[in-house]
Amino acid sequence: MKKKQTISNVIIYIALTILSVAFLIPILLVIMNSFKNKLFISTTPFELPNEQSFMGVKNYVEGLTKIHFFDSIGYSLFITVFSVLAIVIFCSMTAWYITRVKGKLTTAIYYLFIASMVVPFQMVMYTMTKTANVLHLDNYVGIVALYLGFGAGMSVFMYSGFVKGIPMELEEAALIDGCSPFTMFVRVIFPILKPISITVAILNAMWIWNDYLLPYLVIGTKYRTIPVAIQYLKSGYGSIDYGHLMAAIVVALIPIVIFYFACQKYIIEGIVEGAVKG
Amino acid sequence: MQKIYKKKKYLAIFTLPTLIAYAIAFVVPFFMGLYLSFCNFKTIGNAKFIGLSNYAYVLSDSNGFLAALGFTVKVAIVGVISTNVIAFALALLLTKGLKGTNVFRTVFFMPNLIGGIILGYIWQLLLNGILIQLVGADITYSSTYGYWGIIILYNWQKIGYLMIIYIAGLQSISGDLLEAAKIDGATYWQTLRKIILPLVMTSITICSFLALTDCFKMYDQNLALTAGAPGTQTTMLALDIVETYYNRVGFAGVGQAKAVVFTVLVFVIAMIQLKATRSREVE
Amino acid sequence: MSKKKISWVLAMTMAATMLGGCLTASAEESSYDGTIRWLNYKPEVADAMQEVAAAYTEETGIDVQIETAASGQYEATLTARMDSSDAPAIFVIDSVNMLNTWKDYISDLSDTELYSMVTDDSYTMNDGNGTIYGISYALEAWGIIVNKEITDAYFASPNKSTEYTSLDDLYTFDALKAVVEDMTALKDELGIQGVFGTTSLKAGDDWRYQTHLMNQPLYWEWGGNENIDLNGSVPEFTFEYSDNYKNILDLYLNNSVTEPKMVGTKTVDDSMAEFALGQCAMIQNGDWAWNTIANTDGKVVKDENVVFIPISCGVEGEGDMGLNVGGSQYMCINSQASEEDQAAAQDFLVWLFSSETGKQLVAEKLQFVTPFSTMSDATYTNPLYASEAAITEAGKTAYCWAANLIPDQTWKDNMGANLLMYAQGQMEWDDVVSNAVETWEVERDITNTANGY
Repeated sequence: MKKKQTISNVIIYIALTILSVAFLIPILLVIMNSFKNKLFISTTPFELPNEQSFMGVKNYVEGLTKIHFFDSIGYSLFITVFSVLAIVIFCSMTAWYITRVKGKLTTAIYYLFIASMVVPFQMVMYTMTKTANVLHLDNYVGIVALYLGFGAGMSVFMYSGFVKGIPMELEEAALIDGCSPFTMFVRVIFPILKPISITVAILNAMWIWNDYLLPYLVIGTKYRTIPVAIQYLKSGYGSIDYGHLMAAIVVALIPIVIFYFACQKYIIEGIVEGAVKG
Repeated sequence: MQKIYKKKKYLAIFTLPTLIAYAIAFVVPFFMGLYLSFCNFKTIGNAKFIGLSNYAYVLSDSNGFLAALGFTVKVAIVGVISTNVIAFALALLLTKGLKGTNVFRTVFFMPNLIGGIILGYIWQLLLNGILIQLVGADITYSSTYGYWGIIILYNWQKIGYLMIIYIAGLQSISGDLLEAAKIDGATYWQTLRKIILPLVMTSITICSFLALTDCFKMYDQNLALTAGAPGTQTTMLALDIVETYYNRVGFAGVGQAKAVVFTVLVFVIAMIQLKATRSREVE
Repeated sequence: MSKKKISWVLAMTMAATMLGGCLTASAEESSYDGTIRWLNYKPEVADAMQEVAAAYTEETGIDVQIETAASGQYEATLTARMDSSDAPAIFVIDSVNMLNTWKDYISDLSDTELYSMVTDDSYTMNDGNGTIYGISYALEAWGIIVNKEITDAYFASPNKSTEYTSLDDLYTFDALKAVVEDMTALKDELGIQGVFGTTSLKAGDDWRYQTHLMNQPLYWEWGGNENIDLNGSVPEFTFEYSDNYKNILDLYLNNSVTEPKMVGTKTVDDSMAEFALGQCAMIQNGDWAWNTIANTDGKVVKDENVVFIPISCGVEGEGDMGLNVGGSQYMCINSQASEEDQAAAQDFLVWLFSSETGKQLVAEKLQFVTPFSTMSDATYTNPLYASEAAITEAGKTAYCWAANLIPDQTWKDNMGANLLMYAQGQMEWDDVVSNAVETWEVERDITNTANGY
């Protein structure tokens, strides 16, 4: 029995290892090809770089400067960080308020937010882009407001679920101590919301960082976020340079890997949380 | 307490910022979009009301919208089943209490953090490399290649995500129950079928619908991997809508009408999901 | 944190979020403190355009923003931009279709300094009554680019089996075909992998065939330069010369560096690199491709050996024809922009095409051949320009840019996809032809209706 167990365990390990390698191969392949001349990439990606095809870091230097990739990283970081902050701050406030104050108005607001969760982006892409133009939100600062609006549905929903579980007594005590509801929210409620705030922040960060169509349509020609810049490499120069594309992809993966290893625990908890609640 | 909260000042402080942003990003554009789907327009300023003819075009557009719908359904069926089966199998293996499974979990989940555009190009490189070796043509050669390419990419991206949810579901099953089954002499398959599966039914429902709505809304991956090639044979719904909207002069109204139909479809799926999840919870 | 402080922070965050657009920096000292915006049509000069903008800002302090639309996306981008607060003051139209679509946004340039510099009205988009809508800024020519070193080696070879002795003999299809096929037979001797570079039919990289090569059949079907009205509606199209189109396309495909089945994997850049690296002797493209050739790593083709011959496809009279030449892109000034913005945009363009700095940038960086008298003394490094001049001097007639009358991008994309499937052996030629004609009818109707014909 024991022996049988060990054998089956070994088989499982081998299978999992093979699968893990299979999961990593595409990424390793991109890294390898990022050092090759563009002519040796699209048709023979499995050949190791050789004398003829090795380019050193030229793809990185040229490709990244050509599309101003470091600006793109800056835009992506700025937009993601501030959008997530805005979502966490404003959606927690809204969710707490509409959950605590029961009334026709707040219930209506709640359902209004829920409604947006099922609407695909294509439904509003054009009209939202136009609205953003008219209101001068078509820059990397203004787009934060759009992400707040777009992220509000899911975020308010998740916060509301959490707020329901917070006992009223805490709030009452604070109010009796003479706090205004606003100070009370900041001092008492917001700290209690921390776990759900992390979940909301992570789910929104993943989505906003990788979002393509919204930033492409709203600010795409002026401020290219990472996904927009990578797509632009394909169509922006009349012809694609695979060397530059590979280099850009490798650099784009670095922040993701760092983020992943830094917050893996929270990310995985967030996913479970988000799936069950959402 | 409610009295203090109900002051207009607080209603404004707490809800207005989100509501204003929400109105700008969603509510106003939604109703404008709904109106524009009945119009012929180049810019919003010159929109002309033309009634239902955009919709008539959409529902008879067998090369465009309907073809894209058919292709999307095909991707969704195989995509939903394959991701869920594989993710569930992995979750079972990773919850057996073996040592070092965290490393595997880390690896399997990682692709999920990579955005669709980047994923598309990563897989284009790999798949084209393989196809050129094997058949001497690339992914744009046939819609079958494009179809399976999208399925493989989607599996690579989603398996880790669904696996995490299944793991959580499996971990919530009490060990005593499984122990009891073992003592009663149940085989592994019996335990799986009679005990584990019913207990993770909620997870299965959640994951199936997550995968389903995801497939329906897929855009980035489709754009980067095949961009519809050959021709428009591997164009999914979202891509078809964006293409109609922005790359055909004079077809913005039709594009908007497609978007409305698309919204209705996704809405219906979401309603079925809600119902399914609710009924499970009652059980 | 006190309550006051918190509300202040909140207010500021909100303000920053909501009013972000108003925080953009404005230009320094100058009577004009706005921004000149140009929506650039040509991706290949995107970087050079940035240098132009920087140079003008340095000289005058006026801010110039040049956006470049992605390939095949110009009108989509223009539509989006025109509706926004950042509408370009300078934009480009490439056809009468576009002129009709954008007429409300186009100001008359007839009384401007810029127009006074134009040498001939044929380089403008006009209504025939003195209204000037747009001015061409880049006269372009295309045909077959040849590496003369390789063809000379062929003509000198004792093993050749044709009687032709120079490129001047290759102005008819029969001669071209005979030489190309003989060269393919001798490709090892000539040290090439194929006579033609890859027929890149990858989606988005297929414009050399679905647009440029279409010029041949369109030109002949519509009766030549005298009968084609480039300012008119989209004519009918029966693909009368489809066999001729097939002639030349097959010649490209069958004598290529790349297997026909693989042409969907290659980009325009790939095939220009093949030419630059000496792997092939010929490639269909235009003079704009020079930059790509010149900048290829490991380029072996010598500048003085890069010349043009015309595209031939077996139509009677083609021996007297030269290259395909035209100005397909016309600069327009946005009439809906404010007076100051329009004036600033014009000043900028006058500077670009007449000041010393500007002219140097145009000739060396942008490499535009312009119709401006002020540019007549400019010197270019592109060897293809000399070749064009030689062909014109030899008395050959240029094909007009009939392909400008292709209804729309949808037709082109569809044609490109079908050509790819034909090359891969997945579609019969007859189906390509019938589909091209059917789609033309549909798109022509849409385009002409939209343009009020």
